[in-house]
Amino acid sequence: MQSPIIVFDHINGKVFVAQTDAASDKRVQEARAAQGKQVTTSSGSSAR
Amino acid sequence: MATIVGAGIDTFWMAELPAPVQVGVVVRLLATADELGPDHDHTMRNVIRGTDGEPLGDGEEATFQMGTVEEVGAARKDWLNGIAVITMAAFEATEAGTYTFELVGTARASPRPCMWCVASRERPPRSRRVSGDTGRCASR
Repeated sequence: MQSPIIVFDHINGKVFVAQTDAASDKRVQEARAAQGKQVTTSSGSSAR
Repeated sequence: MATIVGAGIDTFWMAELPAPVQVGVVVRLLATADELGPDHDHTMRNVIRGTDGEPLGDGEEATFQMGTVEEVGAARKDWLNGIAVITMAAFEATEAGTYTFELVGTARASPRPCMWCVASRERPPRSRRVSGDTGRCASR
């Protein structure tokens, strides 16, 4: 199961969330199939 | 249901204050299959409390999803599913003392864990030091 990564930046008043989405999951699977090695990727979004 | 992974007390030795402090907490959540997927938003709020117990600011809130469509499709309905949520928090310590790291989840299966960290201006006597970078505080 995907593991979200959340950064709470209280100094600058910002929050950053990074987690694998379905599209990047597909890209990872395609990359693995094409290259025969493990590849990881993620997408991120920020708030405030 | 939630489990804090490796929870404890961290002691940060600062040459001078105020100084920025960065801490990390991994929370393992257990969720039913109907709580998963990109269509289900979950929120987690992080609150840092200062040495007087009062919140530093309003807290920061994040929205996230647990599991892709493929993962949800493969999840068993009669089992709880484990998700590791990795969190980092940065704040400014203005004085020496104990600060509270608190996570509040609004999802049904979310946690209310907290973690303590200490920012100290001076090193305590050797007999009162904590062994290692992370460990149990012997005394205050």
